[in-house]
Amino acid sequence: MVGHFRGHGLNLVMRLLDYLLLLYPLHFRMEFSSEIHGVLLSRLCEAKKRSHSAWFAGILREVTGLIFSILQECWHDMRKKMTNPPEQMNPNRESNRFASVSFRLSLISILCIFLMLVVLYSGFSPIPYVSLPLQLVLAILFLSIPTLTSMGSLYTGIRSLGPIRAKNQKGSWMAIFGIVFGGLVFLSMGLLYLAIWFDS
Amino acid sequence: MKAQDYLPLTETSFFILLSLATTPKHGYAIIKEVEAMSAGRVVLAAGTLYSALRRMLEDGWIERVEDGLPSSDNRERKLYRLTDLGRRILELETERLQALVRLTSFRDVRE
Repeated sequence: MVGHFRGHGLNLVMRLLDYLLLLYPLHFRMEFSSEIHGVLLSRLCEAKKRSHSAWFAGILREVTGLIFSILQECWHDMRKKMTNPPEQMNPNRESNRFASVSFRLSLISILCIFLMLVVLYSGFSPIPYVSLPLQLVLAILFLSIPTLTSMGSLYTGIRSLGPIRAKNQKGSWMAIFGIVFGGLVFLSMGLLYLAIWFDS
Repeated sequence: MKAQDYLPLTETSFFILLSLATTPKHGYAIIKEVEAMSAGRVVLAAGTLYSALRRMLEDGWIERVEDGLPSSDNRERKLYRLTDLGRRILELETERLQALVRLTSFRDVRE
């Protein structure tokens, strides 16, 4: 049963990581993404065989590594474009690809963060006499309003980058940064919210 | 840029270069070798590794070669190997670290 769940877990995690790979700059993605995918798959399969803790530590390490690497590569790409502007780019192709990917990625990242907050909240619940399933339900109810508010803010933030980008064709990196930093802001807001709740 | 200009190396860069010193390797093999060399202390994430490899490729420390053998998922794997510049940088960094270790032998650093 646990193995079956973890088999599905591996597929789900690999899918999430594949979406994360799409956030790399185009040339980096074309050059390395299939290799990174292969390495991630091998690493996670290996961790899965070891133990639960190794599996979760492996996911955490790879996701964190990817996020930092994406930020680093986007920054590098942006600096390169500033010093050497590209001769010919097809902005439509990039923006179409970006639109669908960004939507799915935003949804997945928001769901992941939401689930993480639910688990965190239910784990440190101040009502110990309530059973675990009920704690989870309470956590979902309790966290739904701030999550929906944050989703709305994040969506508005990303949408507001659109006109700036339309004015300046070189600004495609802004939307990518919008998603990444939006995610980080959202995560910080969630953690802050939790901290305030525990404090009170 | 001269080899000296790249020093000192970060720990990640040093371990990656060191792992490639003997034979060309692909990404997964580099991660495993680094983990073994550092006795499990340095565990590279795939993203971290490939960002470092991209930087090293751009700076000409390493180069990519075709493996020829497809992996289990039928993808052709790329091997990475040190260039002369990469090897020179590794040698200089090793000398620098050895000099630091020698320095500690003149003083009793333990309490």
